[in-house]
Amino acid sequence: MSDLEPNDLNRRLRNLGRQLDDQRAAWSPGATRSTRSTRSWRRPALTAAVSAAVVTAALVAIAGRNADAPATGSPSATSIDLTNETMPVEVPMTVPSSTIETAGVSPATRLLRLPTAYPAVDEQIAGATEPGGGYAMTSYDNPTRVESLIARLDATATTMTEGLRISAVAGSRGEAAAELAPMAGAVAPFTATVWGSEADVYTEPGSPQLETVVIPAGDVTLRITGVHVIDSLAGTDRFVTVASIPLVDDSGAPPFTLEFSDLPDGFTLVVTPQYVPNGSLTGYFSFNNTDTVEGNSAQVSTWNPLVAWASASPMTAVEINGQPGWMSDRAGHVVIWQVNDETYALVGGSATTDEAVTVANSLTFIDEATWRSLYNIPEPEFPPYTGSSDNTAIVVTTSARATEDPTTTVTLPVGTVS
Amino acid sequence: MIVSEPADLSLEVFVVAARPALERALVARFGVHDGMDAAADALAYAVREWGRVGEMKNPSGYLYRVGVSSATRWQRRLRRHGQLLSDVTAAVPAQLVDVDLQRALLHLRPEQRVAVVLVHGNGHTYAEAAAMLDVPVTTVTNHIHRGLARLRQLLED
Repeated sequence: MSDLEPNDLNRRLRNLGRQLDDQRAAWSPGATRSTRSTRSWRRPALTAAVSAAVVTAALVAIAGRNADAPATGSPSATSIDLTNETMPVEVPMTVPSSTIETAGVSPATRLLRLPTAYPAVDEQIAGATEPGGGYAMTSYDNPTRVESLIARLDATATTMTEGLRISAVAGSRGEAAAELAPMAGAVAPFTATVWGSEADVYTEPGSPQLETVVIPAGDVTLRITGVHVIDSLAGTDRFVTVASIPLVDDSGAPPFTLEFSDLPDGFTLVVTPQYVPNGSLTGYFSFNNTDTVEGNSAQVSTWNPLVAWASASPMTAVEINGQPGWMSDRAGHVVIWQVNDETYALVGGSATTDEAVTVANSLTFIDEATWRSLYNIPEPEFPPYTGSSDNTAIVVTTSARATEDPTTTVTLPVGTVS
Repeated sequence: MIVSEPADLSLEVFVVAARPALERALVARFGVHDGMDAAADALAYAVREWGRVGEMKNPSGYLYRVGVSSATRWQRRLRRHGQLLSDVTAAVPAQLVDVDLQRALLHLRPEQRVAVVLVHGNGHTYAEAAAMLDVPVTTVTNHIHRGLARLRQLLED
């Protein structure tokens, strides 16, 4: 291939582009399993979360990721084959929704937490097309973190403004920079002194521009994200610290949490510190409203999405079937509320906030098996992690911190790649 | 389609529209194997963080950086592997694999490689590539001009 006339190079590039597209397609969850090799099971791609234009049941396949953690066995790993070359194994998702992960798994454990209630829409919504749904993975490689939300509430607690997302994230200042700097694009971080400590401030693109203040705290960084964070923190005394906590189990939950003291005047702790697992699944369904064309979607998660939304947008209180919730008329019109102790719901993508509220009020919540049956949703795939230096167990759980019986632990196959 | 408009945009519409180009850009940068992983990371991030991402001026460009950030933390095979195509899918017969071109592409700066592959490999416009990389069109023009020149030089050596 020495003919390097421009047209020839263009032809070769086009050929490569087609080949890359072909492999992209083969990599996607739509591909049959026979087309995937062993290593391709490392992570089938994440399918589109939801499709408003063509509402079809979508399977979101998930898989693992190679981690830097060395392959270390744990006492409980005796049931895990760490020696065989990875073989893709069908792992039907038959875990009962009450399954609780317990102690004794590898430090490299990835938790996949599942909601315990799933949304279904009443048939009487006028103009709605037939819903379709699936699973979406909402995180897996993120460093372990705990996060919470403080904000200003008005006297009647009907509006929430100046939300600050406060996170404790495992990793050094340098690791925080590796994660945040690329997202800040061309905007270089600057340093500031916050509560007597040197902090890095990253500005993300967008409107409004969000700032994240990163304050090193040993092996953890304290991060505060919101609009004009530096202004919000100016003149305040330190009101949050990262505190070590004893590990109650080996579930992968972090050995630290956030502790708050007196908040700045006018601020309220809205979301108490919540553990965000490395892996969590969101269940969703969506449908079109033929009157407005917009696609409505409802999703449930084990973490409270209000933390992300309220740090970017003012929120207004709303009641959904007697439960308190919050709504925003920005970014697709969302309503967020808590369904049960472990499940939060979000309705979004609606044409108007009123429509989002109507959809939210029309929802009923059912168990996962019924939900899958109702919307013909395939089981999520839980392939083994087969990263180059990692032996990782995946544990499906609905309660990462639970330490009581039942003690059923679901450990999926773990493989190695030489 | 590369979504670069301010988003009064639902997540589902965005994901459907933006996903192919996002995957292409990250595959061009990291190869099929890690690029698809990075795209999965970025889309998962979008699902979770849509409250912020949906408000951004250029959500595609932002998620590209999310994918780059994710892949950079993990990626360590591309140079050793020596090609963008994955060796684990059967979609491309071995005899049709242009190894020389892929090796040459891997010697380009990453943004040059992505720009060249997006425009000359996948047929995206300069403007679309600029949106994906979240840089001005003139920057993409420079990436491609220098990238192609370097490619020719490498392939002639």
